[in-house]
Amino acid sequence: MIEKYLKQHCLQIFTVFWFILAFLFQISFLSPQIFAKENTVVIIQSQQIAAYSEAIKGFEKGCKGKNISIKAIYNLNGDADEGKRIIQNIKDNKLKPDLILAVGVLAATLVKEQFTDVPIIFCMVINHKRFNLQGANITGISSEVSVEDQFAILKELLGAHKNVGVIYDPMKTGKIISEADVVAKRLEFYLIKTKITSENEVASALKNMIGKIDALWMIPDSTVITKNSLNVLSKTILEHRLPTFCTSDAIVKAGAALVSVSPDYTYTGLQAARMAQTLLNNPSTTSLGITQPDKLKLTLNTQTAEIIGVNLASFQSHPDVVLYP
Amino acid sequence: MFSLRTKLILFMSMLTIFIGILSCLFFLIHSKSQQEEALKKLGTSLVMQLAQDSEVKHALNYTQSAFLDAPIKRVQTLDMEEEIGYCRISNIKSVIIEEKAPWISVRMKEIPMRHDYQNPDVQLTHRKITSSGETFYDFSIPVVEKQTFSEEAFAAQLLGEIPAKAEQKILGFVQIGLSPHKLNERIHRSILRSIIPMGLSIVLGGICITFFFTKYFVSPIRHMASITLDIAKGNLTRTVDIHSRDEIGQLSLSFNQMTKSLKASYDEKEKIMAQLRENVNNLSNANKELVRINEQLNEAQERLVRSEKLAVVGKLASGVGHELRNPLGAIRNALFIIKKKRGNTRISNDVQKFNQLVEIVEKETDRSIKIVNDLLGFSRTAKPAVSPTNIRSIIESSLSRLKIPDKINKVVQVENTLPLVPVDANQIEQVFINLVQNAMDAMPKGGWLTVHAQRENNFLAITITDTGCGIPDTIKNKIFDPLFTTKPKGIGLGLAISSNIIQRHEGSIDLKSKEGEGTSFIIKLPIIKT
Repeated sequence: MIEKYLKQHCLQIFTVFWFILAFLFQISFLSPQIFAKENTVVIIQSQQIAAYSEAIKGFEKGCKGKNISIKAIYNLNGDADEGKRIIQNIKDNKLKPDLILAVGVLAATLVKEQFTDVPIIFCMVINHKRFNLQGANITGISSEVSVEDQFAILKELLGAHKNVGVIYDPMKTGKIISEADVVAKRLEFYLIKTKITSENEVASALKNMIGKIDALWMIPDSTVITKNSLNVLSKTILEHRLPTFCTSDAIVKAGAALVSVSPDYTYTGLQAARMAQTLLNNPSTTSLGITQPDKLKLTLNTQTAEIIGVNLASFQSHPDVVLYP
Repeated sequence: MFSLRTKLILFMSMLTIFIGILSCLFFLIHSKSQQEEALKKLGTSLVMQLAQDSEVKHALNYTQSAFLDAPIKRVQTLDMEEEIGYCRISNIKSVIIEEKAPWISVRMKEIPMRHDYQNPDVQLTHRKITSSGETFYDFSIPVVEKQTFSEEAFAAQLLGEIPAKAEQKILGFVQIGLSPHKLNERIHRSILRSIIPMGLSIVLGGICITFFFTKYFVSPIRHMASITLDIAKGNLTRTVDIHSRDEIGQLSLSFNQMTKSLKASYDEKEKIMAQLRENVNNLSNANKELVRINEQLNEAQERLVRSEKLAVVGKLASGVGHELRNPLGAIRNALFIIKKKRGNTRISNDVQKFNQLVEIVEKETDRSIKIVNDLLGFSRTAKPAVSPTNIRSIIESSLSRLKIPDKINKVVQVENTLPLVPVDANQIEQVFINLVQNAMDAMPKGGWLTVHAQRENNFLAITITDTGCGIPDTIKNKIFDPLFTTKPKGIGLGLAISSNIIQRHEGSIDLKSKEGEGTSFIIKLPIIKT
């Protein structure tokens, strides 16, 4: 779609870019004050949750003293219709922002649809590959932790040559699993996979795995992880003392998993601020691509570890460790 | 009491009926749960449709029942089987609309409104039974102002918060009640059209299969039983003609082998039995032959002994006779002269005594002469001088020579047409005299003497019967022996001579006697052919 758009408006874009470049070239020589002009940024968050707020706080912190002004923070309240209305309003506003920070998948997808001429930075999008968040004006920070990082932690926790069970919906997370196959083999783990297509199958899938696996890997799959299935998973895991690892600190906090590797949300905000700065300082650069989060945090649930009988002593010395409860 | 087939049919039929009933029950429960599930799905989709309808949201926002007509109609068009019993839409303040189907008798007041939607564990569906006894499947759902973007909800969950619900504004509630009357109708229809025919077909099919199966299974056994009965009756040629490769086939094969070996041993036994029977017959014949030979030997021995005796007696008699007859004749002559002379001369007083003595001497001398004559007759070996003779004349001559006492009644029965017999008339007369004399001796107190003559084939049979004392069985075989007598003054030669004479005539003499009743002597003489 973007390519089609580009092809159709190639001349216009080219002319715009030409003028912008010419204008910038002129003012760079004529008035250094113009450089000092504040860049405006609009933050759009999908909904009001603590994790997003942390990231926004990190961004705000990162922007302080960097000549970046956060014009407004919009909350889409998790509603697609409302989101569209809000974004339409922003678009209709004559004062166009220099950069948009989209926090969350709803914000990212809607902003990507509505803005093609403003640099966009998205963050806190889970499984960003599923939503085709790519474009000439799009820069992003993935919220996924690489499979390798996750298995490295597991190896440290349990040692190699273990059977690791995973439940997934091939429509949503098939790609992660095919990648994991290679990584697991390399790190000497045996991956026992069970495909499901609805959340109702989670309980039976897990039941069939019990006894065959030494650890459970919970991947961010919206078919697998739902409110109902989390209860079932949590109960079964504790009942069978099954070490479980995932990428959600919330799940670890809730006691459903033992350990998680997840991005540090505040630091993600800081990373986004740095990227915004780069983009704003180099108007010719409209996209920095999608990068991995710079800093990860390890979340452990000591209570769960006690129930399962896993010694976490070696992890407590790790940097960036969060312990619950 | 029952045959194997009946038992099998009974057992299998019971089993089939049991399975049929179980299948019917299973399908009934399954069909009921399916129908209920379908009803629940319909109710859920209807109530969801109403709750998500933007017009309903408008109506609830502005408390305008007029906005509800179109959504309710839309829902009603989806309810093709007319299962919606009632429908209630209310907002936080009041009930906006309450409708019930005309065929529902329940009052809407009886159906409580639900306000417990904040509880996350509450079920969408409730089965309600009203006070009037009607049952409904009640579906209630809150109408919320906005919808949550599902991926965002997932993200919120994964990132640690679920804020959306708390912020969702509830505009009101939609409540729909579905009546299960159509469901019950469908279940009844399913029972009548599917479940009962299925159960019946299972039972009937099972029974039919059992019937044919048992026939197939039992008929060879029955066939074998009938053949066994035949074999028991002795028909060892029967065989079982079953060529299946199962146990029945093996059994029939073994059965045929058994019958074959049974027949072989039976044939062997029959052969041995036939041989035994033949041997027994042979032995029996040999025994009979032996007995006959033995009898012949005994007879021959007896004859030999008798012949020897007769020869000795004959020799003796001949010698004694010759030697005694002449002196006895001289004595007799002398006595005759003495008697003659005594009549002329008177000698003494002892004349009476002398006469007595002379008479005694005469009498005894006569007797001695008779004995000597008998002995000589017995010893005679010359062939009889036969000439055709009328037997009646011999009988009459014999009887006339004897003095038969009056107390003895004489009966002579001789057929008039009797042929002539080639006999020595003197010898045969002697035989008759001897026999009649014996008969008279046996009847000292009187009785009946019968002489009977008749033709018997090529023989002439003369029977001399008396009603005397009879002859005891112990001496019957000795009666014809020479020198054997029961009389105090006999010398036992009469019957021996008679027997000898008859034998020389190639005839036979037999004896029939019963002690105390009498005796019959039967003489058979060959007849000359005229």
